[in-house]
Amino acid sequence: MIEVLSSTALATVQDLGRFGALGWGVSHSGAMDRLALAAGNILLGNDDNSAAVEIPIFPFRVRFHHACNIVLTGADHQARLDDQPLQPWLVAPVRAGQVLTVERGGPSRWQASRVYLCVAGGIDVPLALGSRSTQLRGQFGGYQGRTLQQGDHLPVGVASDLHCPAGMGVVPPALSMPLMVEGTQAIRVLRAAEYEAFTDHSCAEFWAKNWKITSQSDRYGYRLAGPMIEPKLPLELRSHGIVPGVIQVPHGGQPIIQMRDAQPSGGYPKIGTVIDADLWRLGQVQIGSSVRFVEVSWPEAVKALQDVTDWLEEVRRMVALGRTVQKGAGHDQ
Amino acid sequence: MAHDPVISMLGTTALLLEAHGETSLETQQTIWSLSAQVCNWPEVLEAVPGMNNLMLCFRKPPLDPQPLIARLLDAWRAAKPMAVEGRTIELPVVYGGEAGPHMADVMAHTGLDAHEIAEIHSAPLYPVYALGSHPGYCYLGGMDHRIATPRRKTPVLKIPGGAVSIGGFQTGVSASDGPSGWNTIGSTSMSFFDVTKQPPTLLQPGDSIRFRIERVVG
Amino acid sequence: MTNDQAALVAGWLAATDIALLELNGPDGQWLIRNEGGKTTLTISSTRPALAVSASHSGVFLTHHPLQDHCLVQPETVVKEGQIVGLLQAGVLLLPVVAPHDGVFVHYLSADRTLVGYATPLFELRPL
Repeated sequence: MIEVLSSTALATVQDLGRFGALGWGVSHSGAMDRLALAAGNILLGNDDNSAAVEIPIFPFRVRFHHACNIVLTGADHQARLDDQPLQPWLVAPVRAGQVLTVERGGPSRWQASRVYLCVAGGIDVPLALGSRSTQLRGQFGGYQGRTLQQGDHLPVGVASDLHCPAGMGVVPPALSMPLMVEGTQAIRVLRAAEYEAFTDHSCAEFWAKNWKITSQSDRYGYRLAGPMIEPKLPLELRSHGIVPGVIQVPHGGQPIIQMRDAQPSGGYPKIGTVIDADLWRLGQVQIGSSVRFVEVSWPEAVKALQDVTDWLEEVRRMVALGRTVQKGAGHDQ
Repeated sequence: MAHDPVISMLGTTALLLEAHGETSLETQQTIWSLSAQVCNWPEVLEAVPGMNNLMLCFRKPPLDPQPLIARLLDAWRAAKPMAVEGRTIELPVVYGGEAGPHMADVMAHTGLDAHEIAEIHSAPLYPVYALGSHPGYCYLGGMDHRIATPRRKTPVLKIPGGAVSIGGFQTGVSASDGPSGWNTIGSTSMSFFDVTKQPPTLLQPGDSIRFRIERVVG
Repeated sequence: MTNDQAALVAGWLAATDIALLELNGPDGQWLIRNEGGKTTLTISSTRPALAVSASHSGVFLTHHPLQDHCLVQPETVVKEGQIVGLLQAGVLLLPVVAPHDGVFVHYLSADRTLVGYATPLFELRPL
C-alpha cells in the first residue's frame, strides 16, 4: 500500500494504454513516456503492462506501508527515501514506513518533464475496460478516474520472485538514442491526408522552424506556438478517427498535437502525424521548450519503431544478465 | 476505379479510409459492413468507424503497406450497406441563453434567429453514425445544411456534458465536460456512458436520436 | 565512533557556544566545528585507506549518466551500500557500492574508463 502524502497536481496512475475501446469514444490514455514505464517494469520483473504513477509536477511525496522494490524512471529528478538520496533509473529497496520525496531535478543532460514511480507488483487498481490507465474525461480507470490527492491509498500487486539487485539500472534511452537538430529536440513526422491542402510556404515553415510547447499543453494535447500554418482554401472536414501524435491545424493557424488523452476522433485538418517511435520523446518535452519536426518516409518510420522494440529487447536481455549479479560490484583488496 | 475511397496514414499507428461523395446513411452502412469484416484481420488492432470513414489501428505497422491497402480497397468495393435495426432515444433540449453560448455565432453565420435554428435542428430523426470524441459521444447524420456553421477558430477549453453543438455540417451531444471546437446551441441531460455496463455506451451505430424543444431562450 | 554517534555529538555541540571539538582515538581524529549552530565534521583516520576494486568488467562511471556532477565528493563520509559509482555494460548499469561505512577518499579510475576484474575503482578509509 502506498499512501499519497503531498497534495500534488496531475499525478495519475497509467499503464501502457487502453486499447479496443476507441469505437465507444474511449481514448488510449496510458503513459506519456511509455518507454520509461516499460523499462521500469522490466527492471522490477513486472508484467510489461503493470501500472505506475506518472508524476508531472513536483514535489511528490508518498509513504510506503510495506517493503518493496521501486525504480524512478523518466525525467531526471532529485529523490530521497527518508533522508537518503536515490538515483534515477536505478532499482531501490524500500522498507515499510519509509517516505519517498521526488523533487524537480537540477541541471541535467536531459531536459524532460515526467517521472514514473514504478513498483514491484505494479499499482494494483482495478482494471476498467481492460486497462489500469486513468480515463480523465470519462472519470474511470486508474485511481477512481482522477488525479491523485493527499490521503489516497494505492494498492500494490504481488511482486514476481525475480531477483532485483539494489542499484541495478538502465541507461535512459534519451542518452543512448538521442534525436536533436541544431540543439533542438527533433520529432519525426509522417505527412497526413491534408498536407497538400496547406500552402507551400506553410509547409516549408512547418519543417524549418522551431515550435514552442505553450503552457496550454497537457495530456490531451500540446498547443504549439510558431509560424502561421494556412490552408490554400478553407477546409471543413468530417469527423474521423485520430490517434496520439496527429498534428491538427484549427482555423487559428497554430497546430495542436493530439496526445495520449486526446479524443479518438476529430475534424480539424491534419498536416502530419508524429511517428509512434517518437511519442515517448514528445511526451517528455517540457512546457516552454521547443521541438523541430523532421519529415520521414514510411520505411524510415517503421524502422524507427523497430529500433524502439530492439532497445526494449536489449534491456530485457541485459537486465536478465544483471539479475545474476548478487551484490554490488565492488570488493576490498 | 471511379469513386474509390482516399486512403492515408496516421503516422505508423493507423490507416484512414475516407469514402468519396456527400455524407450519406447508405455510405455509413457500407462503412459499418466493412468495419465488421476488417476488425478481424490479423494486422488490425481495432476498426473505428467515423462519419463516412474508417480508421484501422495497426497491431504492428507493415513494412510495405500496399498489399493491405489493396486488400482493403477490394473489401470496400465488395461491401454492401449493412442495415441496422436500432432504437430511438428522445432528448429534451433547452436552446439558446446560457445553455447555448454560441447560438449567436450560428445566428450570425446562417442569418436565422434562435427559434428558427431550434425548429430546424429538432426536426429530423438523427441516425447515430459512429461513436467517438469522448466516452459515449454520438456522431449524428442528417443535420439540415441550413444551420451548418464552421468549427470554431480556436477550440473552447471546456463545454459541459449535455451540450448540444454544431460543427460544420454535423451535430452532436457531449457526454461529459471537456474541450470542443463546435458551436454549442443548447443543453440536454442524459447518461450516455456507464463503464460498469456491457456495452458501456447508451447508443450504438444504427440507433437514432430525436431532439425535442423544451424551451428556446432569446 | 559511528556516523550516527558523530551526528548526535554534533547536534549537542550546535546548541553550545563551543567552536571546536577535537576527539582523538586509536583509529584517528574527529574534528567537529561549530559556526553559530552549523556544524561540520572532518575525519582524519589513521586506519589505512583501502582500494575497492571491480568485481567484473565494464565501463566505470563516476557520475550518473543524466548528471554532470560526481556521485560522491572526495573526503565525504559514506554508508555501507551507498552507490559510489556505476559499471555500465551496454544499456545495463550495475552499482559500485561502499562495502562498509567509511570516508570516500577519491576515485582511482577515471570516468568512462573500461575496467576489468580487480581494477581499483576508489579508495575508502574505514572509520
